[in-house]
Amino acid sequence: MNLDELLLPDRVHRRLYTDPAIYDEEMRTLFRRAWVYVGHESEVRNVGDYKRAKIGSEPVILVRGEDEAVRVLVNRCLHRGSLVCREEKGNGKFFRCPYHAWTYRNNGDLMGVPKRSRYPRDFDLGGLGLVNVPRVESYRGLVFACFDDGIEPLVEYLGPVRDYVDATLDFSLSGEIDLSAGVSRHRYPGNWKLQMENGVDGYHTAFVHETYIGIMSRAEEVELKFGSHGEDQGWTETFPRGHAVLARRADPRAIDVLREQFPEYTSALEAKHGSERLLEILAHMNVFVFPNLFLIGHQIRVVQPVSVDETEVMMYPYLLTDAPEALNRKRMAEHEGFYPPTGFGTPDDYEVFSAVTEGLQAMSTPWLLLNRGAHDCQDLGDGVRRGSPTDEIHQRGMYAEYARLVGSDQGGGA
Amino acid sequence: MSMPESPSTFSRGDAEDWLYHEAELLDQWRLHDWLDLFTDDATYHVPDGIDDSPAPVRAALINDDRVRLEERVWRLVTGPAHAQIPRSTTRRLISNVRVAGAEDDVLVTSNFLVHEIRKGQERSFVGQYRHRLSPAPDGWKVAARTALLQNSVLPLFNVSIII
Repeated sequence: MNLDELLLPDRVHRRLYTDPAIYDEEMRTLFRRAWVYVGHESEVRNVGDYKRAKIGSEPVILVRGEDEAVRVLVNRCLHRGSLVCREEKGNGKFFRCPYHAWTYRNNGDLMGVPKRSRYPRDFDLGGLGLVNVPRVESYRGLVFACFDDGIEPLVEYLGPVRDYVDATLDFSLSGEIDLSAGVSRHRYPGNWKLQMENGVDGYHTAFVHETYIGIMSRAEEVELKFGSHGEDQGWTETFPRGHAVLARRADPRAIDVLREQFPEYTSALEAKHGSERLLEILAHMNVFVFPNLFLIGHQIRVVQPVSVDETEVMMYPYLLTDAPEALNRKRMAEHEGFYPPTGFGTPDDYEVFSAVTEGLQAMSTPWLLLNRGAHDCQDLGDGVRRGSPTDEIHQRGMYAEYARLVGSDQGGGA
Repeated sequence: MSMPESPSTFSRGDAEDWLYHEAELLDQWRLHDWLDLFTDDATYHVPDGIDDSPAPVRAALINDDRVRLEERVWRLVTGPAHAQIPRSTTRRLISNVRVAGAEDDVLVTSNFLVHEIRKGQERSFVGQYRHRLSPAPDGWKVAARTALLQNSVLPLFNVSIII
Protein backbone atom coordinates (compact mmCIF):
# COMPACT_ATOMS: atom_id res chain seq x y z
CA MET A 1 0.00 0.00 0.00
CA ASN A 2 1.30 3.44 -0.87
CA LEU A 3 1.47 5.47 2.33
CA ASP A 4 3.21 8.52 0.86
CA GLU A 5 0.20 10.77 1.37
CA LEU A 6 -0.78 9.30 4.74
CA LEU A 7 2.40 9.17 6.72
CA LEU A 8 4.97 11.93 6.98
CA PRO A 9 7.98 11.90 9.32
CA ASP A 10 6.22 14.14 11.83
CA ARG A 11 2.52 13.49 11.28
CA VAL A 12 -0.09 10.81 10.65
CA HIS A 13 -3.22 11.09 8.49
CA ARG A 14 -6.63 10.52 10.07
CA ARG A 15 -7.39 7.76 7.58
CA LEU A 16 -4.97 5.49 9.44
CA TYR A 17 -7.55 5.43 12.23
CA THR A 18 -10.77 5.56 10.22
CA ASP A 19 -10.34 3.76 6.87
CA PRO A 20 -11.42 0.08 6.91
CA ALA A 21 -9.31 -0.60 3.81
CA ILE A 22 -6.17 0.49 5.67
CA TYR A 23 -7.19 -1.68 8.63
CA ASP A 24 -7.54 -4.69 6.31
CA GLU A 25 -4.12 -3.93 4.87
CA GLU A 26 -2.62 -3.86 8.37
CA MET A 27 -4.09 -7.28 9.09
CA ARG A 28 -2.76 -8.58 5.76
CA THR A 29 0.73 -7.13 6.06
CA LEU A 30 1.83 -5.72 9.42
CA PHE A 31 0.42 -8.45 11.65
CA ARG A 32 1.80 -11.17 9.38
CA ARG A 33 5.26 -9.68 8.93
CA ALA A 34 6.06 -8.80 12.57
CA TRP A 35 6.71 -10.99 15.60
CA VAL A 36 3.33 -10.84 17.34
CA TYR A 37 2.98 -11.66 21.05
CA VAL A 38 0.52 -14.55 21.54
CA GLY A 39 0.85 -15.52 25.20
CA HIS A 40 3.05 -16.48 28.09
CA GLU A 41 4.58 -19.88 28.77
CA SER A 42 3.01 -19.93 32.25
CA GLU A 43 -0.40 -20.02 30.55
CA VAL A 44 0.48 -23.35 28.88
CA ARG A 45 2.63 -24.82 31.60
CA ASN A 46 1.54 -28.47 31.22
CA VAL A 47 1.36 -30.83 28.27
CA GLY A 48 -2.02 -30.32 26.59
CA ASP A 49 -2.57 -26.82 27.99
CA TYR A 50 -3.91 -24.39 25.43
CA LYS A 51 -5.25 -20.88 25.18
CA ARG A 52 -6.81 -18.99 22.30
CA ALA A 53 -5.23 -15.86 20.89
CA LYS A 54 -5.14 -13.85 17.67
CA ILE A 55 -2.44 -12.74 15.31
CA GLY A 56 -4.09 -9.65 13.91
CA SER A 57 -7.45 -10.99 12.79
CA GLU A 58 -6.26 -14.61 12.51
CA PRO A 59 -7.61 -16.88 15.28
CA VAL A 60 -4.88 -19.11 16.71
CA ILE A 61 -4.30 -21.55 19.54
CA LEU A 62 -1.20 -21.43 21.73
CA VAL A 63 -0.71 -25.03 22.82
CA ARG A 64 1.88 -27.25 24.50
CA GLY A 65 1.95 -30.54 22.65
CA GLU A 66 2.61 -34.08 23.89
CA ASP A 67 6.28 -33.52 22.98
CA GLU A 68 6.26 -30.46 25.33
CA ALA A 69 6.89 -28.11 22.42
CA VAL A 70 4.89 -24.89 22.36
CA ARG A 71 3.13 -24.36 19.04
CA VAL A 72 0.81 -21.81 17.56
CA LEU A 73 -1.91 -23.43 15.42
CA VAL A 74 -4.41 -21.62 13.24
CA ASN A 75 -7.83 -22.17 14.82
CA ARG A 76 -9.70 -23.04 11.64
CA CYS A 77 -10.85 -26.43 10.43
CA LEU A 78 -9.37 -27.39 7.07
CA HIS A 79 -12.73 -28.76 5.94
CA ARG A 80 -15.38 -26.05 6.11
CA GLY A 81 -13.83 -23.36 8.23
CA SER A 82 -15.16 -23.61 11.78
CA LEU A 83 -13.07 -22.90 14.81
CA VAL A 84 -11.82 -26.20 16.18
CA CYS A 85 -11.19 -24.75 19.65
CA ARG A 86 -14.00 -22.76 21.23
CA GLU A 87 -12.94 -22.59 24.88
CA GLU A 88 -10.76 -19.64 25.84
CA LYS A 89 -8.32 -21.96 27.57
CA GLY A 90 -8.11 -25.53 28.76
CA ASN A 91 -6.26 -28.80 28.48
CA GLY A 92 -6.71 -31.63 26.02
CA LYS A 93 -5.05 -34.03 23.62
CA PHE A 94 -7.24 -33.20 20.64
CA PHE A 95 -9.20 -30.46 18.95
CA ARG A 96 -12.44 -31.66 17.41
CA CYS A 97 -14.31 -29.51 14.93
CA PRO A 98 -17.91 -29.03 16.10
CA TYR A 99 -19.25 -29.12 12.52
CA HIS A 100 -18.31 -32.55 11.08
CA ALA A 101 -16.04 -33.83 13.86
CA TRP A 102 -12.75 -33.66 11.99
CA THR A 103 -10.29 -34.30 14.79
CA TYR A 104 -6.76 -32.95 15.16
CA ARG A 105 -3.92 -33.79 17.55
CA ASN A 106 -2.63 -30.91 19.59
CA ASN A 107 0.39 -30.67 17.28
CA GLY A 108 -2.07 -29.89 14.47
CA ASP A 109 -2.01 -33.30 12.68
CA LEU A 110 -5.35 -34.47 11.34
CA MET A 111 -6.13 -37.76 13.12
CA GLY A 112 -9.19 -38.71 11.19
CA VAL A 113 -12.46 -37.72 9.60
CA PRO A 114 -15.81 -39.46 10.16
CA LYS A 115 -17.22 -41.62 7.34
CA ARG A 116 -13.92 -41.65 5.49
CA SER A 117 -15.29 -43.98 2.80
CA ARG A 118 -17.04 -41.19 0.86
CA TYR A 119 -13.69 -39.63 0.08
CA PRO A 120 -11.61 -41.31 -2.64
CA ARG A 121 -8.80 -43.56 -1.40
CA ASP A 122 -6.15 -41.25 -2.77
CA PHE A 123 -7.57 -38.16 -1.02
CA ASP A 124 -4.59 -37.19 1.12
CA LEU A 125 -5.56 -36.34 4.68
CA GLY A 126 -1.90 -36.03 5.63
CA GLY A 127 -1.69 -32.52 4.25
CA LEU A 128 -4.82 -31.33 6.03
CA GLY A 129 -3.46 -30.66 9.50
CA LEU A 130 -4.15 -27.39 11.26
CA VAL A 131 -1.84 -24.73 9.91
CA ASN A 132 1.20 -24.36 12.16
CA VAL A 133 2.32 -20.73 12.31
CA PRO A 134 5.80 -21.20 10.84
CA ARG A 135 7.82 -19.23 13.38
CA VAL A 136 7.32 -19.48 17.14
CA GLU A 137 9.97 -18.26 19.57
CA SER A 138 9.95 -17.06 23.15
CA TYR A 139 11.98 -14.64 25.19
CA ARG A 140 11.85 -14.95 28.97
CA GLY A 141 8.55 -16.79 28.76
CA LEU A 142 6.93 -14.34 26.34
CA VAL A 143 5.84 -16.32 23.28
CA PHE A 144 5.77 -14.64 19.88
CA ALA A 145 4.72 -16.00 16.51
CA CYS A 146 5.17 -14.85 12.93
CA PHE A 147 3.69 -15.97 9.62
CA ASP A 148 6.75 -14.74 7.72
CA ASP A 149 9.24 -17.59 7.64
CA GLY A 150 11.99 -15.17 6.63
CA ILE A 151 11.84 -12.91 9.69
CA GLU A 152 14.97 -12.49 11.79
CA PRO A 153 15.27 -14.46 15.07
CA LEU A 154 13.21 -13.01 17.92
CA VAL A 155 16.21 -11.85 19.97
CA GLU A 156 17.48 -9.86 16.99
CA TYR A 157 14.01 -8.43 16.40
CA LEU A 158 13.83 -7.30 20.03
CA GLY A 159 17.35 -5.87 19.89
CA PRO A 160 18.25 -3.26 22.49
CA VAL A 161 14.72 -3.08 23.97
CA ARG A 162 15.58 -6.42 25.58
CA ASP A 163 17.45 -4.57 28.32
CA TYR A 164 14.19 -2.92 29.41
CA VAL A 165 12.25 -6.19 29.16
CA ASP A 166 14.93 -7.75 31.36
CA ALA A 167 14.84 -4.88 33.86
CA THR A 168 11.06 -5.20 34.14
CA LEU A 169 11.06 -8.96 34.66
CA ASP A 170 14.13 -8.94 36.94
CA PHE A 171 11.94 -7.58 39.74
CA SER A 172 11.18 -11.28 40.03
CA LEU A 173 14.10 -12.78 41.95
CA SER A 174 13.93 -16.01 39.95
CA GLY A 175 13.29 -13.99 36.81
CA GLU A 176 10.02 -15.84 36.34
CA ILE A 177 6.48 -14.57 36.34
CA ASP A 178 3.06 -16.20 36.36
CA LEU A 179 -0.07 -14.93 34.61
CA SER A 180 -2.62 -16.81 36.74
CA ALA A 181 -3.79 -13.82 38.80
CA GLY A 182 -6.47 -12.81 36.31
CA VAL A 183 -6.90 -10.30 33.54
CA SER A 184 -8.52 -6.92 33.05
CA ARG A 185 -10.41 -7.04 29.77
CA HIS A 186 -11.19 -3.82 27.96
CA ARG A 187 -12.89 -2.81 24.76
CA TYR A 188 -12.84 0.76 23.49
CA PRO A 189 -14.42 2.41 20.46
CA GLY A 190 -11.27 3.43 18.62
CA ASN A 191 -8.39 2.24 16.48
CA TRP A 192 -5.76 -0.07 18.00
CA LYS A 193 -2.95 2.37 17.23
CA LEU A 194 -4.37 4.84 19.77
CA GLN A 195 -3.40 2.35 22.47
CA MET A 196 -0.05 1.70 20.76
CA GLU A 197 0.79 5.40 20.89
CA ASN A 198 -0.63 6.07 24.33
CA GLY A 199 0.93 3.17 26.23
CA VAL A 200 4.26 4.98 26.23
CA ASP A 201 2.95 8.54 26.04
CA GLY A 202 4.37 10.65 28.83
CA TYR A 203 2.67 13.86 27.69
CA HIS A 204 -0.94 12.97 28.58
CA THR A 205 -0.34 11.67 32.10
CA ALA A 206 -0.62 14.91 34.01
CA PHE A 207 -3.85 15.84 32.23
CA VAL A 208 -5.81 12.65 31.57
CA HIS A 209 -4.79 11.17 34.92
CA GLU A 210 -5.14 14.32 37.00
CA THR A 211 -7.58 12.63 39.38
CA TYR A 212 -5.36 9.58 39.80
CA ILE A 213 -2.35 11.74 40.57
CA GLY A 214 -4.50 13.77 42.93
CA ILE A 215 -5.48 10.65 44.82
CA MET A 216 -2.07 9.02 44.83
CA SER A 217 0.03 12.04 45.68
CA ARG A 218 -1.04 11.47 49.28
CA ALA A 219 1.02 8.30 49.32
CA GLU A 220 4.71 9.19 49.34
CA GLU A 221 5.73 5.87 47.88
CA VAL A 222 3.64 6.39 44.78
CA GLU A 223 4.87 9.94 44.60
CA LEU A 224 8.34 8.46 44.14
CA LYS A 225 7.12 6.75 41.00
CA PHE A 226 4.54 9.07 39.53
CA GLY A 227 5.62 12.37 40.99
CA SER A 228 8.88 12.31 39.06
CA HIS A 229 7.52 13.13 35.66
CA GLY A 230 9.58 16.28 35.24
CA GLU A 231 11.44 16.56 31.95
CA ASP A 232 14.73 15.71 33.67
CA GLN A 233 13.39 12.73 35.60
CA GLY A 234 13.01 10.29 32.75
CA TRP A 235 13.21 9.73 29.04
CA THR A 236 11.65 8.16 26.00
CA GLU A 237 13.55 5.92 23.67
CA THR A 238 12.86 4.57 20.23
CA PHE A 239 14.45 1.37 18.97
CA PRO A 240 14.78 -0.42 15.64
CA ARG A 241 11.60 -2.31 14.63
CA GLY A 242 9.31 0.21 16.32
CA HIS A 243 9.86 -0.78 19.93
CA ALA A 244 9.69 1.99 22.51
CA VAL A 245 10.19 2.91 26.14
CA LEU A 246 8.92 5.57 28.47
CA ALA A 247 10.98 5.46 31.65
CA ARG A 248 10.91 7.47 34.83
CA ARG A 249 13.98 7.19 37.00
CA ALA A 250 13.36 5.68 40.43
CA ASP A 251 14.03 7.94 43.39
CA PRO A 252 17.27 6.82 45.12
CA ARG A 253 15.15 6.17 48.24
CA ALA A 254 13.09 3.54 46.40
CA ILE A 255 15.34 0.65 47.50
CA ASP A 256 15.04 1.66 51.15
CA VAL A 257 11.27 2.03 50.86
CA LEU A 258 11.09 -1.50 49.43
CA ARG A 259 13.48 -2.78 52.08
CA GLU A 260 11.29 -1.48 54.92
CA GLN A 261 8.44 -3.68 53.73
CA PHE A 262 10.24 -6.66 52.23
CA PRO A 263 13.74 -6.76 53.75
CA GLU A 264 14.77 -10.27 52.73
CA TYR A 265 13.47 -10.02 49.19
CA THR A 266 15.14 -6.63 48.72
CA SER A 267 18.46 -7.90 50.00
CA ALA A 268 18.28 -10.92 47.72
CA LEU A 269 17.54 -8.70 44.71
CA GLU A 270 20.36 -6.38 45.67
CA ALA A 271 22.79 -9.27 46.09
CA LYS A 272 21.83 -10.63 42.68
CA HIS A 273 21.83 -7.41 40.68
CA GLY A 274 23.77 -4.79 42.68
CA SER A 275 22.13 -1.61 43.92
CA GLU A 276 22.74 0.40 40.75
CA ARG A 277 20.92 -2.12 38.58
CA LEU A 278 18.25 -2.61 41.25
CA LEU A 279 17.43 1.07 40.99
CA GLU A 280 16.98 0.60 37.24
CA ILE A 281 14.73 -2.37 37.95
CA LEU A 282 12.64 -0.22 40.30
CA ALA A 283 12.23 2.56 37.75
CA HIS A 284 8.75 3.01 36.34
CA MET A 285 8.96 1.67 32.82
CA ASN A 286 6.42 1.44 30.04
CA VAL A 287 7.97 -0.93 27.52
CA PHE A 288 6.43 -1.44 24.09
CA VAL A 289 7.30 -4.35 21.81
CA PHE A 290 5.93 -3.62 18.37
CA PRO A 291 3.18 -4.20 17.39
CA ASN A 292 0.97 -5.52 20.21
CA LEU A 293 2.77 -5.99 23.54
CA PHE A 294 3.40 -3.72 26.51
CA LEU A 295 5.11 -4.39 29.80
CA ILE A 296 3.82 -1.66 32.08
CA GLY A 297 4.35 -1.64 35.80
CA HIS A 298 3.02 -4.96 37.02
CA GLN A 299 1.26 -6.05 33.88
CA ILE A 300 1.59 -7.68 30.48
CA ARG A 301 -0.72 -5.76 28.14
CA VAL A 302 -1.90 -7.15 24.82
CA VAL A 303 -3.49 -4.96 22.17
CA GLN A 304 -6.00 -6.79 19.99
CA PRO A 305 -7.48 -5.00 16.99
CA VAL A 306 -11.14 -5.88 16.36
CA SER A 307 -12.04 -3.50 13.53
CA VAL A 308 -10.87 -0.12 12.32
CA ASP A 309 -12.61 1.60 15.25
CA GLU A 310 -12.90 -1.17 17.84
CA THR A 311 -10.09 -2.54 19.99
CA GLU A 312 -9.76 -5.01 22.83
CA VAL A 313 -7.01 -4.78 25.39
CA MET A 314 -6.10 -7.53 27.83
CA MET A 315 -4.06 -6.54 30.87
CA TYR A 316 -2.55 -9.43 32.82
CA PRO A 317 -1.22 -8.31 36.21
CA TYR A 318 1.40 -10.97 36.81
CA LEU A 319 2.77 -12.60 39.94
CA LEU A 320 6.46 -12.73 40.79
CA THR A 321 6.93 -16.46 41.28
CA ASP A 322 9.09 -16.46 44.40
CA ALA A 323 8.21 -13.09 45.93
CA PRO A 324 6.49 -12.83 49.33
CA GLU A 325 2.74 -13.18 48.95
CA ALA A 326 2.32 -9.76 50.54
CA LEU A 327 4.38 -8.20 47.75
CA ASN A 328 2.25 -9.87 45.08
CA ARG A 329 -0.90 -8.74 46.89
CA LYS A 330 0.42 -5.21 47.00
CA ARG A 331 1.11 -5.31 43.28
CA MET A 332 -2.41 -6.57 42.55
CA ALA A 333 -3.86 -3.76 44.70
CA GLU A 334 -1.83 -1.21 42.73
CA HIS A 335 -3.10 -2.75 39.49
CA GLU A 336 -6.69 -2.62 40.74
CA GLY A 337 -6.30 1.05 41.59
CA PHE A 338 -5.51 2.20 38.06
CA TYR A 339 -6.06 -0.34 35.33
CA PRO A 340 -9.32 -2.33 35.35
CA PRO A 341 -12.42 -1.00 33.53
CA THR A 342 -13.49 0.06 37.05
CA GLY A 343 -10.11 1.62 37.93
CA PHE A 344 -9.05 5.23 38.44
CA GLY A 345 -6.85 5.50 35.35
CA THR A 346 -7.59 3.46 32.26
CA PRO A 347 -11.26 4.56 31.94
CA ASP A 348 -10.02 8.10 31.42
CA ASP A 349 -7.59 6.96 28.70
CA TYR A 350 -10.32 5.11 26.84
CA GLU A 351 -12.73 7.99 27.22
CA VAL A 352 -10.11 10.11 25.46
CA PHE A 353 -9.63 7.48 22.71
CA SER A 354 -13.38 7.60 22.17
CA ALA A 355 -13.22 11.40 21.94
CA VAL A 356 -10.31 11.19 19.46
CA THR A 357 -12.27 8.74 17.32
CA GLU A 358 -15.19 11.16 17.17
CA GLY A 359 -12.88 14.10 16.54
CA LEU A 360 -11.21 12.32 13.63
CA GLN A 361 -14.48 12.45 11.72
CA ALA A 362 -13.39 16.03 10.96
CA MET A 363 -12.25 15.75 7.33
CA SER A 364 -11.32 19.43 7.32
CA THR A 365 -8.34 18.68 9.58
CA PRO A 366 -6.65 15.50 8.43
CA TRP A 367 -3.34 15.41 10.33
CA LEU A 368 -2.38 14.22 13.81
CA LEU A 369 0.89 15.84 14.88
CA LEU A 370 3.72 13.75 16.29
CA ASN A 371 6.54 16.30 16.04
CA ARG A 372 7.00 17.04 19.74
CA GLY A 373 10.70 17.08 20.62
CA ALA A 374 11.79 16.35 17.04
CA HIS A 375 14.19 19.31 17.08
CA ASP A 376 16.10 18.04 20.08
CA CYS A 377 16.73 14.34 20.41
CA GLN A 378 19.82 12.36 21.19
CA ASP A 379 21.27 9.64 18.95
CA LEU A 380 22.57 6.78 21.11
CA GLY A 381 23.72 4.66 18.16
CA ASP A 382 22.47 1.27 16.90
CA GLY A 383 19.20 2.88 15.87
CA VAL A 384 18.38 4.00 19.42
CA ARG A 385 17.33 7.60 19.96
CA ARG A 386 16.33 9.30 23.16
CA GLY A 387 14.07 12.22 23.96
CA SER A 388 12.39 13.84 26.93
CA PRO A 389 9.59 12.01 28.76
CA THR A 390 6.84 14.03 27.08
CA ASP A 391 8.31 13.81 23.56
CA GLU A 392 6.83 11.90 20.64
CA ILE A 393 10.11 10.50 19.34
CA HIS A 394 9.10 6.88 20.03
CA GLN A 395 5.74 7.28 18.34
CA ARG A 396 7.52 8.53 15.24
CA GLY A 397 9.67 5.40 15.53
CA MET A 398 6.56 3.18 15.60
CA TYR A 399 5.33 4.73 12.39
CA ALA A 400 8.70 4.30 10.69
CA GLU A 401 8.34 0.55 11.31
CA TYR A 402 4.67 0.71 10.35
CA ALA A 403 5.65 2.24 7.01
CA ARG A 404 8.28 -0.45 6.47
CA LEU A 405 5.72 -3.24 6.99
CA VAL A 406 2.51 -1.78 5.57
CA GLY A 407 3.98 0.47 2.95
CA SER A 408 5.88 -2.25 1.17
CA ASP A 409 4.90 -5.12 -1.04
CA GLN A 410 7.72 -7.30 0.26
CA GLY A 411 7.37 -9.96 2.91
CA GLY A 412 4.88 -12.59 3.96
CA GLY A 413 1.52 -11.04 3.25
CA ALA A 414 -1.43 -13.25 2.46
CA MET B 1 -35.46 3.38 59.15
CA SER B 2 -35.76 2.05 62.69
CA MET B 3 -33.25 -0.49 63.85
CA PRO B 4 -34.57 -3.88 64.81
CA GLU B 5 -33.54 -5.34 68.13
CA SER B 6 -32.01 -8.47 66.66
CA PRO B 7 -31.06 -9.58 63.14
CA SER B 8 -33.76 -12.23 63.19
CA THR B 9 -36.33 -9.46 62.96
CA PHE B 10 -34.69 -8.07 59.82
CA SER B 11 -37.30 -9.14 57.31
CA ARG B 12 -37.18 -9.35 53.56
CA GLY B 13 -39.26 -6.20 53.54
CA ASP B 14 -36.65 -4.42 55.66
CA ALA B 15 -33.94 -5.63 53.30
CA GLU B 16 -35.87 -4.42 50.26
CA ASP B 17 -36.43 -1.00 51.83
CA TRP B 18 -32.72 -0.74 52.59
CA LEU B 19 -31.64 -1.83 49.10
CA TYR B 20 -34.12 0.49 47.37
CA HIS B 21 -32.82 3.36 49.45
CA GLU B 22 -29.25 2.54 48.50
CA ALA B 23 -30.20 2.27 44.82
CA GLU B 24 -31.93 5.63 44.98
CA LEU B 25 -28.88 7.33 46.48
CA LEU B 26 -26.72 5.92 43.68
CA ASP B 27 -29.18 6.85 40.93
CA GLN B 28 -29.40 10.38 42.33
CA TRP B 29 -25.59 10.66 42.51
CA ARG B 30 -25.84 11.33 46.26
CA LEU B 31 -22.56 9.50 46.66
CA HIS B 32 -21.51 11.10 49.94
CA ASP B 33 -24.82 10.00 51.46
CA TRP B 34 -24.12 6.56 50.00
CA LEU B 35 -20.70 6.55 51.67
CA ASP B 36 -22.42 7.24 54.99
CA LEU B 37 -24.07 3.83 54.67
CA PHE B 38 -20.66 2.14 55.11
CA THR B 39 -18.87 1.30 58.36
CA ASP B 40 -15.34 2.60 58.86
CA ASP B 41 -13.83 -0.80 58.09
CA ALA B 42 -16.19 -1.67 55.26
CA THR B 43 -15.12 -3.36 52.05
CA TYR B 44 -16.51 -3.13 48.53
CA HIS B 45 -15.54 -5.98 46.23
CA VAL B 46 -16.20 -6.74 42.56
CA PRO B 47 -14.33 -9.92 41.62
CA ASP B 48 -13.05 -10.76 38.18
CA GLY B 49 -15.70 -12.80 36.40
CA ILE B 50 -13.58 -15.75 35.41
CA ASP B 51 -12.34 -16.86 38.78
CA ASP B 52 -11.36 -20.47 38.23
CA SER B 53 -7.67 -20.11 38.98
CA PRO B 54 -6.16 -21.83 42.01
CA ALA B 55 -3.74 -18.91 42.36
CA PRO B 56 -3.59 -17.67 45.96
CA VAL B 57 -3.42 -14.08 44.77
CA ARG B 58 -5.94 -12.69 42.30
CA ALA B 59 -6.64 -9.28 40.90
CA ALA B 60 -10.22 -8.05 41.23
CA LEU B 61 -12.10 -5.39 39.34
CA ILE B 62 -12.65 -3.57 42.61
CA ASN B 63 -11.21 -4.37 46.02
CA ASP B 64 -11.90 -1.21 48.02
CA ASP B 65 -11.34 -0.54 51.66
CA ARG B 66 -12.94 2.54 53.21
CA VAL B 67 -10.09 4.82 52.09
CA ARG B 68 -10.21 3.70 48.47
CA LEU B 69 -13.99 3.90 48.49
CA GLU B 70 -13.74 7.53 49.58
CA GLU B 71 -11.21 8.13 46.80
CA ARG B 72 -13.63 6.55 44.33
CA VAL B 73 -16.40 8.91 45.40
CA TRP B 74 -14.06 11.90 45.40
CA ARG B 75 -12.99 11.07 41.85
CA LEU B 76 -16.58 10.86 40.62
CA VAL B 77 -18.00 13.85 42.50
CA THR B 78 -15.09 16.30 42.68
CA GLY B 79 -12.47 14.81 40.32
CA PRO B 80 -13.52 15.35 37.69
CA ALA B 81 -12.97 11.96 36.11
CA HIS B 82 -12.83 12.30 32.32
CA ALA B 83 -14.76 9.05 32.02
CA GLN B 84 -17.71 10.84 33.68
CA ILE B 85 -17.71 13.98 31.52
CA PRO B 86 -20.56 14.10 30.66
CA ARG B 87 -22.03 12.24 33.60
CA SER B 88 -24.02 9.02 33.25
CA THR B 89 -27.61 8.70 34.30
CA THR B 90 -28.57 5.37 35.83
CA ARG B 91 -31.66 3.47 36.90
CA ARG B 92 -31.36 0.38 39.07
CA LEU B 93 -33.72 -2.55 39.47
CA ILE B 94 -33.30 -4.83 42.50
CA SER B 95 -35.01 -8.20 42.83
CA ASN B 96 -34.75 -11.76 44.19
CA VAL B 97 -34.01 -10.42 47.66
CA ARG B 98 -33.16 -12.93 50.38
CA VAL B 99 -32.09 -12.47 53.97
CA ALA B 100 -29.86 -14.86 55.88
CA GLY B 101 -29.33 -14.35 59.59
CA ALA B 102 -25.93 -14.39 61.23
CA GLU B 103 -24.51 -13.81 64.68
CA ASP B 104 -24.48 -10.04 64.66
CA ASP B 105 -24.79 -9.15 61.00
CA VAL B 106 -27.28 -10.09 58.34
CA LEU B 107 -26.39 -11.23 54.89
CA VAL B 108 -28.68 -9.97 52.14
CA THR B 109 -28.44 -11.30 48.63
CA SER B 110 -30.24 -9.73 45.68
CA ASN B 111 -30.08 -9.53 41.91
CA PHE B 112 -29.39 -6.22 40.22
CA LEU B 113 -29.85 -4.69 36.82
CA VAL B 114 -28.24 -1.28 36.36
CA HIS B 115 -29.12 0.67 33.22
CA GLU B 116 -26.62 3.33 32.29
CA ILE B 117 -27.19 6.01 29.68
CA ARG B 118 -24.25 8.13 28.63
CA LYS B 119 -23.28 9.99 25.45
CA GLY B 120 -26.26 8.65 23.52
CA GLN B 121 -25.66 5.02 24.43
CA GLU B 122 -27.44 2.65 26.75
CA ARG B 123 -25.62 -0.11 28.60
CA SER B 124 -26.72 -2.66 31.16
CA PHE B 125 -24.89 -4.30 34.04
CA VAL B 126 -26.34 -7.38 35.65
CA GLY B 127 -25.39 -9.56 38.57
CA GLN B 128 -25.86 -10.36 42.23
CA TYR B 129 -25.26 -8.24 45.30
CA ARG B 130 -24.16 -9.64 48.62
CA HIS B 131 -24.54 -7.11 51.40
CA ARG B 132 -23.33 -7.88 54.89
CA LEU B 133 -25.13 -5.39 57.10
CA SER B 134 -24.28 -4.49 60.70
CA PRO B 135 -26.57 -2.80 63.18
CA ALA B 136 -25.55 0.72 64.19
CA PRO B 137 -27.30 3.41 66.23
CA ASP B 138 -28.52 5.18 63.08
CA GLY B 139 -29.60 2.13 61.09
CA TRP B 140 -28.02 -0.77 59.27
CA LYS B 141 -24.55 -0.14 57.88
CA VAL B 142 -22.64 -1.97 55.17
CA ALA B 143 -19.77 -4.01 56.57
CA ALA B 144 -19.10 -5.71 53.24
CA ARG B 145 -20.64 -5.17 49.83
CA THR B 146 -19.89 -7.51 46.94
CA ALA B 147 -21.19 -7.17 43.40
CA LEU B 148 -20.85 -10.33 41.32
CA LEU B 149 -20.94 -8.67 37.93
CA GLN B 150 -21.86 -11.05 35.09
CA ASN B 151 -20.54 -8.56 32.56
CA SER B 152 -17.05 -8.99 33.94
CA VAL B 153 -16.45 -12.00 31.70
CA LEU B 154 -16.68 -9.59 28.76
CA PRO B 155 -14.19 -7.01 27.60
CA LEU B 156 -15.68 -3.85 29.09
CA PHE B 157 -15.67 -0.23 28.15
CA ASN B 158 -15.32 2.10 31.10
CA VAL B 159 -17.41 1.15 34.11
CA SER B 160 -17.04 4.41 35.95
CA ILE B 161 -20.44 4.45 37.66
CA ILE B 162 -20.86 2.64 40.97
CA ILE B 163 -22.16 -0.85 40.26
